[in-house]
Amino acid sequence: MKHVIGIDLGTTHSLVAYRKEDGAVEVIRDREGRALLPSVVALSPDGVRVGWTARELINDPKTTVVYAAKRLMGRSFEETAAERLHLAYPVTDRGGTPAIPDPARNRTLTPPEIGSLILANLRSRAEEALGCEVTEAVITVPAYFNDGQRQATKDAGALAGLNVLRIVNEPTAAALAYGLGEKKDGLFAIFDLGGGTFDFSLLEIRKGIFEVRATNGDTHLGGEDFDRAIMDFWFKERPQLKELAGRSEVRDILRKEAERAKVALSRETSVTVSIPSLNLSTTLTRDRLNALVEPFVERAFVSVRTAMRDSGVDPKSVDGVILVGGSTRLLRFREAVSDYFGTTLYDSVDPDLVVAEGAAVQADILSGRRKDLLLLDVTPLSLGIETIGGVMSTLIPRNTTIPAQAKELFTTYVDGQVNVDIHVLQGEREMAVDNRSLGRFTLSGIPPLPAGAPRIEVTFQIDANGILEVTAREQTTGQKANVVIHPSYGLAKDDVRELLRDAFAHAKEDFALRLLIDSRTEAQTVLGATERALGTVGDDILSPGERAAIKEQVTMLRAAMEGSDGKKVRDEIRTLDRLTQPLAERLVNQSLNDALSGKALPELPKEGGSAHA
Amino acid sequence: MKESATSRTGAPTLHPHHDRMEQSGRSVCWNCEKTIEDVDVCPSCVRVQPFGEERNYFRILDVPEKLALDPRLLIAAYHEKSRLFHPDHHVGDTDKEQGIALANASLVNLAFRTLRDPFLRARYYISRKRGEDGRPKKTSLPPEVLMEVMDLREEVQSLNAQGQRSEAEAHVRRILDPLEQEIYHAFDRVDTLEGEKASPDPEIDRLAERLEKRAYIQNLLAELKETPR
Repeated sequence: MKHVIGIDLGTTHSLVAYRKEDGAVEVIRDREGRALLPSVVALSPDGVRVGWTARELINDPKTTVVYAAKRLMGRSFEETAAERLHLAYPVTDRGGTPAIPDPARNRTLTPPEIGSLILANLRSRAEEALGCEVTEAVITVPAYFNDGQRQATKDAGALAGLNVLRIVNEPTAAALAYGLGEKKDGLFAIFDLGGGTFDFSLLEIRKGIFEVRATNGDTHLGGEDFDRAIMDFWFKERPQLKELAGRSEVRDILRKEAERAKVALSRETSVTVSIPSLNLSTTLTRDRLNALVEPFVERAFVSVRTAMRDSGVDPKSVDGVILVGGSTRLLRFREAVSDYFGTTLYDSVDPDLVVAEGAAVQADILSGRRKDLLLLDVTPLSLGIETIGGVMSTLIPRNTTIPAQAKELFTTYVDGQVNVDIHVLQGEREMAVDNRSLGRFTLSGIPPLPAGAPRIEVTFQIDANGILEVTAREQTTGQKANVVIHPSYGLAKDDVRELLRDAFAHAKEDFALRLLIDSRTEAQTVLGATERALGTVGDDILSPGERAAIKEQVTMLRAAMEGSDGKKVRDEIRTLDRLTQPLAERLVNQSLNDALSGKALPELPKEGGSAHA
Repeated sequence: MKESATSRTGAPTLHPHHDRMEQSGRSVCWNCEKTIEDVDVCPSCVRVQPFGEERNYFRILDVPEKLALDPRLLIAAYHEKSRLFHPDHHVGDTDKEQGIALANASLVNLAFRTLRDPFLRARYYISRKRGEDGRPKKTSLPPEVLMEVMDLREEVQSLNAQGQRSEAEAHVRRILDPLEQEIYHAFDRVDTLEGEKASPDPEIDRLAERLEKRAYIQNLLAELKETPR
């Protein structure tokens, strides 16, 4: 069966989930049983690593460790100035796009390329767990992501070999995962406060239809800001600490301690922080933390109030509040939410997993198996074009349900004008320059007529991913100009194609190499366990024939390990597993009997070997 | 500045501009080429059909063309059409079908957005009625009403300047609330006249005037909310 996976591509962690045969959704764990994958990519001289192993290299001087790349996603180099101040890795300007140098491989990587490495990792995790190829996915983004950030996320999926069926907003996905549509109808407010972004959505749920009434957010607000506020407080108290923090490993220690203190203060009223190596010993109280985070909580509620005003809904008529994202554990935040809505807080589902699970539900809807559910989402920001005087004329206001289409007639400004520049904008400000430019295109071939005579019809079409396409047509001649808005700072269509070719060329190699390394490691464990077992059991448990067969297979496996075919190594492991299976069962039985008859337990193979099966 | 476009209409138009369908009433299924009535889905091959020219917002949602619309009926209709056309339910279809679904779903959303708000709905209703009669679509307020609104603006601004913002808001509300009630009563009267096949024109003109007055006062309220305390 074909699987469509749901991916939560987060600022600090990413996850993948799928729909099981029984219809329930489940997060896919790695071999060590971990659901989360740190959104970290390590560019080191001996290879590229993703996730937990990448994070371990944070203080390795020869390695560039890229984290929080989501903050750079789909934005121009210029726009990311504030973000870059907080990043410990170098970011260069590659034709207006931020790019991370990878000197070992003599290249630079854009944020979508970094994202694609994380997505590819999750993809192969899913392939391994499901035992089949996975090519289609639903990926979540913060509801407040603009057109460029959505497009960049889609590009990242394509680079990872995934056909992205839908970009879904994180808070909406969370609501789906809660199964609210099945349980009860009503108005629900969703707070999604992650490591780096804040989203607020108001949803009306009626008979399986999830209609987003309004959304708002702040793409620069999250738990990392709280950690930084704590650190800044320490710096203010001890200026010498600030100097030390110029070194990245010191900064890293301080950041971890700040995070630990923040988490502890959700249970305790005060916490002691002591870092002997930095000669730091101090106490942080909950009241102090509350004061430090207050400006951020206040900022979050600016978004909340705007969304509630847009929706025209009274906060008191909201039936429930859903909390998503690890940072909603902050007590001051919960307090503020309760004060504003005065209703039930739902947080029964693990806030870390809920978005990926919702993405898997949406994947299920798209594959046609859940016709009972439907998401009606909105566009978070107004879309329009620049008109005379540098003013933005809005064609589609924010919080319009998508898909959406708008048409408007424009005309020329001077006599005989034959070209019209169409400048597409996204944002809420009056003047074009204050909004984000999504792109420019020219409609040419307009008949030379007096000013005001031509009729130029501009059509905006937003698809269900929230991505815009603009067409313009001069009505008297039928002259047409067509653009799919592509971020002017991101990857051009051709770049994506080029990268895709490269990725596919390397994907096979990368996959083969990883399989080889992984299977060799697994083989070591299995061999160790098998040999330990062979050394401890006598003929009473293992017949000479069986022993010989196992020994022969051990030789086969060792030979395979010398070669470079990872799949062969894996096959030999499976064969050995089969051969040692009866031995494992007998050993377990024996130890049970011994235990029941009061004898001491013999040492069992602890890992690998037959215990695998 | 020379080459930038300039708005011809000022605000986004309320009417969708169709260019897909030629004739009204009957057409041909794009897929199986059978002659069909104006339907959402072809009865023979069960493919979604593009909305025809004559599908105004009421017809797009298949709700009665009335001013006083039951919101529950409207929402139920919107949900039914959304289930039918939303791109999420057409993922595996051909590009052509996906295109039709996307265009129709967009129009369904636009229709609902317009009809859900009673005042937007009334403006749309009136512009359609007047368009059919060939009468001017715009309403201009009589001078005495304009004077009344301007006086109100002055009173409110002076209250606000004295820091009595909530008093200013309450003052606007005292005018606005009964006006909105009057508008709702007018909805019923126009609907009744239409039902009796009597000419609702004078009623519609009065309604248009009240809507225009409400828009002025509503703006005043919005400005008040936006001025910093």
